[in-house]
Amino acid sequence: MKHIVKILALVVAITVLWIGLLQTSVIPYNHTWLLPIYFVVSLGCYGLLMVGVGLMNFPTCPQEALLLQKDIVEAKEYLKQKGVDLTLN
Amino acid sequence: MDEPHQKQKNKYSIIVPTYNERLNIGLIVYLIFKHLRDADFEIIIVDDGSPDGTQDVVKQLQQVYGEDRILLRARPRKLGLGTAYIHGMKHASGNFVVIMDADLSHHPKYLPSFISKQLETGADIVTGTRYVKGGGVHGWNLMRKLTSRGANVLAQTLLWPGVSDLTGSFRLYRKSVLEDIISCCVSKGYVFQMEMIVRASRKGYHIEEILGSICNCINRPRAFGIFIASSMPPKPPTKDPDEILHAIQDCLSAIQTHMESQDNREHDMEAKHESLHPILYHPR
Repeated sequence: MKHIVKILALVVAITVLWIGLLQTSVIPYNHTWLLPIYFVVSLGCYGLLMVGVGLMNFPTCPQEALLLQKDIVEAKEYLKQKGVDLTLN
Repeated sequence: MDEPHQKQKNKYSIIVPTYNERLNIGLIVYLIFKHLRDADFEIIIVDDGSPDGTQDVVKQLQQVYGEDRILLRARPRKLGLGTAYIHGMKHASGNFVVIMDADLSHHPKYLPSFISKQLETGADIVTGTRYVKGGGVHGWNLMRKLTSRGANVLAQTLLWPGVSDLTGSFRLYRKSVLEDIISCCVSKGYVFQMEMIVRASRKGYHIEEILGSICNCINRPRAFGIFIASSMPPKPPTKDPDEILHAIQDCLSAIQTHMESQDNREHDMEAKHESLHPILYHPR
């Protein structure tokens, strides 16, 4: 239950800040009213950006595939010698 | 406590759940014995009644390597991945448990680095990551990468687990720790691995990641269908057009269940794990 409390506290803090801004009208009222929408949109953008960056930098390792292929040949040889039948009959 | 002494004392139980892995189980056992020469270990194969004769191959392997090193703990039918781990753990005599897939997506050559990382740091869990430099995957299509990334970003943002790769499943656990976290996992499918690691980090267990090693290199054998499974009937393609949707749904439900049931540990373990979706066996 600790984590939900943390997230709720964050949400409450942001809401309080927003209501404070609405009340004090430091920024024009119209702008303050739209702030939550900006917030949600920027959160979405952040998510998409993270996924995009992650996809672009997704590590791959084609050389490992070749190494594995070698290992497989080696293993098959060995097991054949030992009389283990791996093929599907 | 000097290190050689420590190493002598530790025993590693490698749990490999299988279903129709006749060829791969032979390869993986060979590779484990090749790469883990100086550690005390046992391989526990939990086979869910494969029709392709996986168990016969395992019996032949027992003749080669010894019945005390390879344990076959079969179950009559497909009962799911979560219960396979529990079943395997019941028979594990080691104080550490390694969980790996039988489809060669997890290469046994990384086992020594898991073990030495654990010895160095005294960690409770060592997990392999694909997202740190040096890690990587091969043979994944864009959809699968997108799913993996999307689920990880979503979970990172909402759960702050402090682990870079949540869905990877090549991990080494202290046995008592695995018993503890597996008993309170409620989710199923793609998120099962995620839930385990998030719960572990919430419970304050010491988690270490293996950096700079390629862990989940080849995740699906069908990427290598040509030479791994040439004699086997091809497995059904895993690509599901709604895969990402499912992943996100799963992710959301995991987050939900996680928040709802943090203290819900008294549940009957068996009943919960009955419902676990068999991740490994997915012909989705």
